Amino acid sequence: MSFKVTTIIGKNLKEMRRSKLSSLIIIIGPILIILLAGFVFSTDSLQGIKLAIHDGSDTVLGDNLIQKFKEKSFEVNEMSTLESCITSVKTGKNHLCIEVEEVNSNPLGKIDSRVNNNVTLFVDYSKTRIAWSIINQVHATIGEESEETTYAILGTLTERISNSINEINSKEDELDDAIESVETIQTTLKESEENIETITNQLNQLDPNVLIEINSFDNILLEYINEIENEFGETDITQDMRNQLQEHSENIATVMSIIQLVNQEFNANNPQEGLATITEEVDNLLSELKSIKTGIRQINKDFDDVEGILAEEVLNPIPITYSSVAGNEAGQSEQKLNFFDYILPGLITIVIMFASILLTSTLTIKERKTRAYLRSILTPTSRGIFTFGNYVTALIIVLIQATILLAITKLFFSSNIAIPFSLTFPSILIISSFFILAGIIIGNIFSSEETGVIASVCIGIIFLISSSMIMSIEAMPKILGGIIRYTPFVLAETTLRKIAIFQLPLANIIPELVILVGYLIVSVILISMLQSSQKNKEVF
Amino acid sequence: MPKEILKVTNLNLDIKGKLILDDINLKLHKKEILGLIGISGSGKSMLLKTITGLYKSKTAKIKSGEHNLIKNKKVLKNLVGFSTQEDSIYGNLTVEENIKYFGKLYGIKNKTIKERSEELIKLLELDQYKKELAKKLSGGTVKRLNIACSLIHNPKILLLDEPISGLDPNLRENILSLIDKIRKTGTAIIITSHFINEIEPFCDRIGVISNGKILAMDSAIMLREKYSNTYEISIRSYPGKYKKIHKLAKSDLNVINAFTKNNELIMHVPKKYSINNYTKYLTKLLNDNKEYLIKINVSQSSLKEVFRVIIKNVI
Repeated sequence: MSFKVTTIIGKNLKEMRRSKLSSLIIIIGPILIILLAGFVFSTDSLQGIKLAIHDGSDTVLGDNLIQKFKEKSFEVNEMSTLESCITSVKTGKNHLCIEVEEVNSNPLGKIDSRVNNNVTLFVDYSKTRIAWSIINQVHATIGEESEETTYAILGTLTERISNSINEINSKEDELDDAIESVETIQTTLKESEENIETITNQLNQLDPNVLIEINSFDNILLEYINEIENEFGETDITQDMRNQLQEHSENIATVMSIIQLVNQEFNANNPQEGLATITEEVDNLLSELKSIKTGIRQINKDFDDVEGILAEEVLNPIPITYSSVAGNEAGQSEQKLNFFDYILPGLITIVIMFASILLTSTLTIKERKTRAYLRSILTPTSRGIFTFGNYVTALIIVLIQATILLAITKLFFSSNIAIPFSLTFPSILIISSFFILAGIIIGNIFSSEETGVIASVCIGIIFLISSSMIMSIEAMPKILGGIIRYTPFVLAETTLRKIAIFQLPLANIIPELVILVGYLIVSVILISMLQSSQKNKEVF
Repeated sequence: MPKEILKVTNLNLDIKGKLILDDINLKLHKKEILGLIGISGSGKSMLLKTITGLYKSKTAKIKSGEHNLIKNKKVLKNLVGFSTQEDSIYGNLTVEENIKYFGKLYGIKNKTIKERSEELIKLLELDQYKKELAKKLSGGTVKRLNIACSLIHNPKILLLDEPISGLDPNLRENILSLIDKIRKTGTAIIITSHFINEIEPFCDRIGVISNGKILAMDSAIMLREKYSNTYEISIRSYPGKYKKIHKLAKSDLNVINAFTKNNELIMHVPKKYSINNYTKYLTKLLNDNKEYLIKINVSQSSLKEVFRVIIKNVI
């Protein structure tokens, strides 16, 4: 059997090699597809977009936007009226109309005049897919200008805060001087208080009885003097003594009156209490001043913190980092994948699908329709062997194509995708096998190459539409999305994505592979049923 | 009598309710060439295809010796080689590759295939074309390649469906000579054709088929004996005033029809007199009319004529 299969494969390959167009399409086909896809998907910008701008007030924002759009290779057409701007979109001369309108309601306008503008986009939503792409591109450009404006406003605010901090810093020194002065007053007051206390104590210690006793002693002395005079007569000495004693008594009386006065004064005005009140007031003043200083320091610190804040942090207070889950499994090195890498699994699936279905359906129909087929089936070789031979032939070609495709991806598009051979090869084998068998089914159903090709393309497109390549499965109705998840194309693409992008091990792709093998078995049964029914209907 | 190698009995075939073959019975002997003649659509090709098993007859018994070929497909496929009317070869393979490819499909060993293909290339005079792609070959060479491919497994029976159609007379002659060479290797052959006269010299027996039914089957001589009541007279003379001769002979000889072909006058006359008498009369007539006789031949009617008679009788 293997001898016959290799003979059939050899014959098929020879026939293809000698048919220049077939060889060309087998080699050139995948190259063309991948080159085209590579160039198409390696950029996310739009080409040749025409924008109409109406800026009636000739604003700074309008000028800036025009400049930016031109820098991004948009064709910008300035319109004198809003009406002409909108009409140009309706007539298809421009893709989008942008109106820059001046308003004066924003308080931030005092800082930057650009905020005194409204931007309105007039969009042609009938151009469904491109409309959103254009909106996104234009929105991004306006966003840049908006961001610049915010930076400018924040810059001004930061500058003003900085000036305030400097002002506060200079006032803090003055406050320090004031506190020092009050502290000196406080010290002086304390000393005064202590002096008054000493005086009071001394005053309190001054016994009026002593004076009275002195006074009485003076009286005794006076009596003695009198007695002396009485004895010895009045003399100058006694007179002098009497005068001195008189002067002494007067002095004592004066002192006593002063003491009384002082006591009265002290008792009436209580200077200690007054001084304590002043001291308390001074203490309060000092406390207040210190509190102000603490406040100023806090303000200063707050201002310092504000000064350290970046405008970017204000614009984006909760920073979001988008990190790829590709190759981020524990123990794996992270793959730096580009956009093209992400679509590569889908692209490989498309190439395998179309190459397999088209090639095998054509091969099967061509073989069935060739005059030599009649001679072939007269030989003791079963139809199953012919089918298997065609299957292996197609498989070889598809694998060659897949290899070419991956080689081009690596060489021309600097793909960083790492493809583990041990998983990729068996997966591509199973995926290709299903699509090849699908091609054989088509080849057995249809009787002319033309209808076979049309049917193959239709089946391919159906698979393509019912996948996430064009429309997200999640966006489809729930039941339909649930079914589509299990279509061969989606399973194939999921398998390759898991292997190539996420570098997942075999265990994670087994469910998809098992379902695909199930499809393979069903296909084989279907083919044998078709061939059996054809055997009875064939007309030679 | 050579050994019988194929026996077909009660072969009926209907497709979608239409009777295509009607009670066909035939035998084929070793080294025999059996010619099947009939107009297009008479059922010649269908008969061969039914024998090879491409169509299934519910009633037929096809046997080779003790082998029931309807039940034993493997014996049938190894016993029979079939060269179809259309060229059943791959255009993008060379002559040699085509022969070897079909050899491999028959499960023949590589060494045997090599020897056999060389033999066939030599036998069918394909040496100078063996490395040529089949699609680049001329019509006659393709026919020869087609036959070679049918013989790679050394079948005992070779079925040739219209092997000389679409070829010029020289190539027809050439192919028929090669068929004769094949017969000499021991192969029994059934050949279908509407070139009745050309295949006649190579066929041991001829079967006339019409509307899916074999109307007559025998050697050419016996068919003439059975179905022909005329002689065919051919004359070549100088200056060749055939119209005048025909006019003079018409009433005396009861000429049925007359025409000129290859600068000869052909006349069909009833078997009323002996061949000798016809010769004497015509020699004298030519002499009297100053016609210099180059050639005169009186013979049994051609097979084509016999075929016409057979078909006419049935209708």
